[in-house]
Amino acid sequence: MAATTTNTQEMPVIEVNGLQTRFGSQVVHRNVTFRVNPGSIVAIIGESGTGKTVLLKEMIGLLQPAAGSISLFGTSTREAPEEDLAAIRNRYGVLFQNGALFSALNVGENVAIPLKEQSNVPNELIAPLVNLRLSLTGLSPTIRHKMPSDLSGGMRKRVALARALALEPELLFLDEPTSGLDPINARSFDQLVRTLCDTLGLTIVMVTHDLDTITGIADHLLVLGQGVVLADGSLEEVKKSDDPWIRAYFSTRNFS
Amino acid sequence: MESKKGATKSIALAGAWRLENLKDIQEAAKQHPWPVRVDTPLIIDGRQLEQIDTSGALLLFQLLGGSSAKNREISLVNFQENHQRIITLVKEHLNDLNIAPTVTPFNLIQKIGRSTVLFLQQLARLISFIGQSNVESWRLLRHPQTIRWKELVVQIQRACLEAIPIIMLVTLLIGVVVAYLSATQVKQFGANIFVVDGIGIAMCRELSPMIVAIVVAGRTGSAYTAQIGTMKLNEELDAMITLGLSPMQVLVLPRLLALVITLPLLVFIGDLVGIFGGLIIARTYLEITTVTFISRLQEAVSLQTFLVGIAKAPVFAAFIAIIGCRMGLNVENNARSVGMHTTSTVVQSIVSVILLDAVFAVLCVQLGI
Repeated sequence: MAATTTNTQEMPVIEVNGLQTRFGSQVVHRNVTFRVNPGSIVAIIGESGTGKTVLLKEMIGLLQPAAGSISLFGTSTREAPEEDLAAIRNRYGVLFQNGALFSALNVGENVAIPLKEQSNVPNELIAPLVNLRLSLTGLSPTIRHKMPSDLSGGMRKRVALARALALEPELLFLDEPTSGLDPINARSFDQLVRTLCDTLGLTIVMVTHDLDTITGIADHLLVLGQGVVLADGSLEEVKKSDDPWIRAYFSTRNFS
Repeated sequence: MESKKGATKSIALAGAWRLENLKDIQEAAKQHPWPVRVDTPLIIDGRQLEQIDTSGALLLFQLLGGSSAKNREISLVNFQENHQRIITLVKEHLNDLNIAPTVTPFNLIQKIGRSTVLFLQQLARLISFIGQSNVESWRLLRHPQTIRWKELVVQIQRACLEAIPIIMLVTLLIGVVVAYLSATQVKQFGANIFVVDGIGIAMCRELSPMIVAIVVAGRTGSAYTAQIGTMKLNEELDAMITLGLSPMQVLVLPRLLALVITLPLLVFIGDLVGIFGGLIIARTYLEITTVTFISRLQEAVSLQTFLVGIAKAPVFAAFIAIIGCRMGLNVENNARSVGMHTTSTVVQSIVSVILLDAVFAVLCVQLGI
């Protein structure tokens, strides 16, 4: 994994500073500050309702925070002009919780959409590129003509991952990547994410509840709670925290 | 992104082999002959390669002969470790690259056969659905205590009360238009008073039932499909069955009953408002006073004419409700399906309303009503 970051001068991929979020009178984030370094898998965890998904949506620009700054690849997403934002959007991919595949398009068309709309790839290369993405996510390209409604939950997530990878992003956001998958599928999805991170040098930010994912593949943990970042560090560091929620969280399972 | 060919089978890569450069690389590659023969070993030099991603690696193998390059003896020299890893990864997946999606050729006879079978299946399902709702309706009539009053009242409010403004607007305009057009005709013969007969009979017997039914099909029938369809998507129907509730009883029957009660009432409102539209025209263009209009109306429109119009309404209502609910229950597990079924509901309901109206017209003539 270290080798993937050889020629990046440790500029953080994501930098969030003093983020505040309110819905009406309800304060979700009081002061959230953290940074994500390239080439690592970062898991955002926290109690339900602590605004993990909200934070993810703010990072990808679907929601606007009340105050604070978010920078992706060194560009502030709240101040940059639309052209810069469009360029940044092509540098990250998002895997939504239920895949969010376009139900009117088949699998191949779903994966081809970013290539057709956002790149100048010659037409004859689109089919092999789509096949490669599907193959990389562990699917057989023979399912290209299937409709999303004909796929199982696990396959849908893999297709969605293939679509997120279509434009060769450097950064990948995953919202609950293993929710709704059986343990075997979930672990193989974890391994897939790990492999992609290591071979392609991706930076991965995910919101998850899955302890096995956290202990298995995450390099770095970010614990949200009470509107701030409660803990920020590797698994070992975070486990030493004396915050009651973090202790309760990790005591749900005995680590041998 | 220059690619040079060495004397023996070796090539050197340079520049950024990235997705955004694929087009340029492909153009540039046409200038060079590529060592595509798979039986010769190949050495690829990556000293000058700045960047490569999986798309770039894919293009490289495409240029080297596609998936047949998989078994070729290729040695990578002077590569950065991460570049080499990406190329190796793509090489492992080469087999999958040129799988073409299976396209079934267009076959007219097959299409006709398929849609005929589909149509017959639909018809069979419609008949069994009508049978099922009849059985449930009978059970409901024998045990009236199982009627879901609250749901029924809610449905009546939605289908009737909330539809009154639009029904009034549409029938008023129809009344005005019909009266106005016939007024210009009857004026030529001095038969002004007969506009009352025309508007009264046309409105009560034909126009009001049909127009109201069409509006309700578009407004309520489509809502039934969309609502039940979304519930199905959300697995609410499955939950209902698990809790021992029958969707037929909880969802379909209250809607069916509500519409059967509601539509005659709406048709009555349509009759009144449409005739009122005729009255406006009669007063302004034909100098017929309100009193004359009403007394003529009583002579012209018999109770029978009025009842024929009202009697059609429950039949139209039953068809609209059954089509709407059935299409909702038939929704498949995706968002597009809800839209398609809703459209289909509106089309089917309107067509069946018009067909039924024709059947009624023939029946009435044959029975001498």
